[in-house]
Amino acid sequence: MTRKTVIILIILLFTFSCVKDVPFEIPEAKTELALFAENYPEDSLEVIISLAQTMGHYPYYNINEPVKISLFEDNNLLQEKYAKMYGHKYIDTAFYGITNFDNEMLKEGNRYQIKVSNPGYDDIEAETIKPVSVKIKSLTWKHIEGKMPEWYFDVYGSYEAQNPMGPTTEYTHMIEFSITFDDPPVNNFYQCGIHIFYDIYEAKIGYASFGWPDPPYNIVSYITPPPDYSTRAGHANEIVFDDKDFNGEEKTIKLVVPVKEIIAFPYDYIIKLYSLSEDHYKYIVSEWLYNRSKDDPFAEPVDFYSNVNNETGIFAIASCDFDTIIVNEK
Amino acid sequence: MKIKILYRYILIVLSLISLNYIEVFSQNITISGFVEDSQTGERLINANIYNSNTSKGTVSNTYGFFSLSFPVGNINLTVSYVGYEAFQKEMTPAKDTMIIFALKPAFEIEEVIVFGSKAERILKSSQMSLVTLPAKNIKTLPVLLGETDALKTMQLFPGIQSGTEGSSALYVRGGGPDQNLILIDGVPVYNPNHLFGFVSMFNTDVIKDISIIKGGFPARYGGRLSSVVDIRLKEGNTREMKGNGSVGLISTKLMMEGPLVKDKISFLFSGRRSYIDVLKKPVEKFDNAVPDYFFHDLMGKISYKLSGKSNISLNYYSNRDKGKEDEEVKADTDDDYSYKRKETSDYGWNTDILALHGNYIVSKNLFLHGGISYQKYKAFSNNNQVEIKTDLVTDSVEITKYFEGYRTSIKDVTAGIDFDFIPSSNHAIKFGMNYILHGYDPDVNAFTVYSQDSIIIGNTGINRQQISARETGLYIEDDFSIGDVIKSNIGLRFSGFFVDDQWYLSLEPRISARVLVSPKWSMKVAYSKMSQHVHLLSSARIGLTTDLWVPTTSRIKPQTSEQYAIGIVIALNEAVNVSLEGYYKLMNNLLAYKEGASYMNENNWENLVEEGKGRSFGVELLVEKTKGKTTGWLGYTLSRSERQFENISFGKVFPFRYDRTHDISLVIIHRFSGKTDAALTWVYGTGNAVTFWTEKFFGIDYFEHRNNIRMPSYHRLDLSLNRHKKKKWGEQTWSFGIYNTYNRINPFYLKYEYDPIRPRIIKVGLFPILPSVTYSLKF
Repeated sequence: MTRKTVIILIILLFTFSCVKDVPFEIPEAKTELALFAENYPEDSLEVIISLAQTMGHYPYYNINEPVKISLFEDNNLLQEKYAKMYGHKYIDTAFYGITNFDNEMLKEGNRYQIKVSNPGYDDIEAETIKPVSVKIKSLTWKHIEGKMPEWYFDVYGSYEAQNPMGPTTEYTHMIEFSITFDDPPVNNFYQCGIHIFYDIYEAKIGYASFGWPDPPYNIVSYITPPPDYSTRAGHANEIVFDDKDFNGEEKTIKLVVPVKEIIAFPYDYIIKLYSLSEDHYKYIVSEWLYNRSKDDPFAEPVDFYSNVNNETGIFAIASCDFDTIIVNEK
Repeated sequence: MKIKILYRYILIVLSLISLNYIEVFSQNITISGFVEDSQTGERLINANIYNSNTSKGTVSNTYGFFSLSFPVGNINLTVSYVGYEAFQKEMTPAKDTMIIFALKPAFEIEEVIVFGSKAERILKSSQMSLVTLPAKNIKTLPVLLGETDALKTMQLFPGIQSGTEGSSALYVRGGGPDQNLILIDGVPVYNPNHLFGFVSMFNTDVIKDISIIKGGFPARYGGRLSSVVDIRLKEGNTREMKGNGSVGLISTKLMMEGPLVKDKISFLFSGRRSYIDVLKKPVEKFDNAVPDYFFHDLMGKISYKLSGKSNISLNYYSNRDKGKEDEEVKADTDDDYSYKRKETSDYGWNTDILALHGNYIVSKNLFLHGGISYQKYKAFSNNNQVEIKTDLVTDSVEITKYFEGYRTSIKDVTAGIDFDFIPSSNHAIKFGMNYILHGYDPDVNAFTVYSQDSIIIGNTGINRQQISARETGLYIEDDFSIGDVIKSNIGLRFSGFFVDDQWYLSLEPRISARVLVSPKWSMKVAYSKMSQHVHLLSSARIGLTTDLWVPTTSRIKPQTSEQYAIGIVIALNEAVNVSLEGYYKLMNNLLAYKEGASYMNENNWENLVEEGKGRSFGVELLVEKTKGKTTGWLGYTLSRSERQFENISFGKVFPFRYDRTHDISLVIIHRFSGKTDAALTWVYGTGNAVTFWTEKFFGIDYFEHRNNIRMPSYHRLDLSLNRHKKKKWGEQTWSFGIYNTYNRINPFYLKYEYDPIRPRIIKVGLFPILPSVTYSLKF
């Protein structure tokens, strides 16, 4: 009896188990709209629309009808525009469309919403706040020269080709800027940049922080070249940090700029202190981590931040305070 | 506030312990001694000693010792052990007596069911979440490539899961593989695997007893969060020379044991070696894809029964895994240069343990065990690349060497002393302490670049952090009965870890209780708090040799957990028992690599990690048949395990990689006769959670959170047939097995494949149907 039961059980198991290999079921997903709208006060609010590729679909579909983009301030419609989708690929993934909004109408402390609609796709929405800018309280500089510490050679500007002030050698010169500001007693997120007027253009230059904040999400230190489309704004070539360690206190940060030699004629350095929204900060940090590790097969995966409701993209507006300082030999 | 709670707890413990102590001071007789195998002299663990006149009983401890007290008068004593003939004797001892009970193995007969049936023992014990496994079952079950494996057999019980295909790593109740306290004769080991985890390092021929505790941990165990795997090895036959060996597809093993001085000194020696490297030799000229790989393990033990009261043993355990791969690629030659690249990688890990143990019967009710051990664990992975660029015009050669290495090394010196104090038949008190001196040396990511004339042009990331630490544990527990209905184990463990000039201290209460609702079923509850001072840093990518064992430091806090469990055990009849358990476990200070972390950018591991928390909960059902020609079990687990880290996936809760909603195991063993037995195992599990992009936009691969995709579910059927034949010199066995009988391609990992029509995700399997044959002999 027992033997029969066992044999029957084996046969039954065999029969029901002999199913064919089940193909991997790709999660159901359709092509969706994606939004990229990152704004700095120097530029207009540029809104880029694209399509997101899902696991089962390539995004090679052109949208014939222009995409409607609506901008709201505190849920009241400010302006509506249409972006025509271009018939070629953007960043080798999809078609894209661009439209611009005047940034003069974006006020500090206000909340802004954006809505993107097209009949063939689900609407996408995002909301952000334009932070109130934090004022630079004082700005000073001093000249340093001699043998540079090891970290110095990771500084973006220490390479001639990327630094209009270069080249630099082991024995070199640096300008150290001290920027002081009062941090408001709420969570604040900052970005700091150093610009000069190079010929007639305003351009970013490379610099490094003195080991602060830790970890310094300092794109400069990691020799990440800025993207072609951004020479005076954007977050490339800047230091980005939060106020976790000095919330509500006065803070001084020190930044150094490597130079070939101390300048014989006066130069206008523009120090910019941007205030970011939390969404914006998270986006920049995740982008920094992503770019740093995307070609490294040994790196841990990075979850890219998005504040768009379908989690494809970013909508962020930064505020800025700046101060100009003239550096010369004396 | 915490001190008040602790004070109350101690007060309750003392009150409960003092209950029923009146018996200690009354006129009692105590019978103490050992229970052993009559043929080999091996001491038997968890043998039952039961006096039917008083309905009181006890079980022998890890060293076969027991002590049972009863009022002066006639006693009817039964000594029993699963797989042995019960010994029964009526007597009237006039004074305290020491006896050695030698039980005869019950060959070819039904297990004798007295007090000692497994179902009844589980029913009556205060310990819950315990899995015990007879060594003979391990040898019967079908396994990958014919290599019998104790840990893989454990994976067939509810609440204990395998990680990936073929791996013998244990994931217990949502915990990681580093959270298992794996003990070989009481010495904790770090990496219990051979062959990238496909084979465990425990040679089943030398295992005497194996048990795993998943929850309700007694206070004597500490240092890990999720489980205790207690493996006890044989001491060696003290009566006659015996041996066994086997030849399988990937390894050969041999075990010898016997007396050096009859009934006094015994030895046991075992060895195993794989021969992938040997088999590869004839074909390596044609195909270099198979790595030059081997593993071996050696175990030696000398046991000396100094007197009837004391034993000492000296153990040595060693295992080695080593692999080497060479690859030479001759790249295309362009107009100006020719390029040649050679890549060599070698990897391996090894464990060496030397231990001295001794035990002594101090008095009729006090047993002492002491031990000292030294352990060295080392794992390494090196990758060398040489690129040769030759200028075809000038014939100048530029050589670039690239080296990347991971190394983790641990040296432990452990000393411990444990006491078993049995003041009455209602109490079994254990107390003791241990001390471990750790030396950690995680060495990460050394890479150096050379160029022409061996001039170093880059030398980055050499990082050697030698950390020494001291760990200590003190414990006391009492396993006591209040009447026949309630039995409880209450204990307290104090653990301390000293590192970087600072102490981490923790008090860990442990409580488990059983209520015998009826003779057929009991209810159990348990609570335990655990701490762990060592972490295993594992990358989300595949690669065991790049795992790093790192200690708690001034920046990295110890892992802690609290587990609550409740369950019932029902003995349906003498052969079948059912247990149903629920658990809820909270874990803190779990360690994981940060997002984007890579040793290419950072060489201090402390800067690359992040602490977070975890939670797991579930229900486990086990239906077990332990008697008759057909035995086996059905296990089912419904569970969930989650993790949360502040800076991983922006603080979102995400599933643990090995979170398995459903996990089913069916095991059937049938003995057709004394000559033939067969076994079947079928497993089913929800697919592992992996991180895989779901959308791409603006050149970004996007996923919603860590471990966002479920791989297809896993299921597999294995079969085995063992044919035994008695010979003049002993017994031979032919074992035939089929792994993955219906050739299910279970996914090992997923990969993206470009297709012009539609993006495709391919699941890559590891093992198709694999038959195996093993020849083994006993002499």
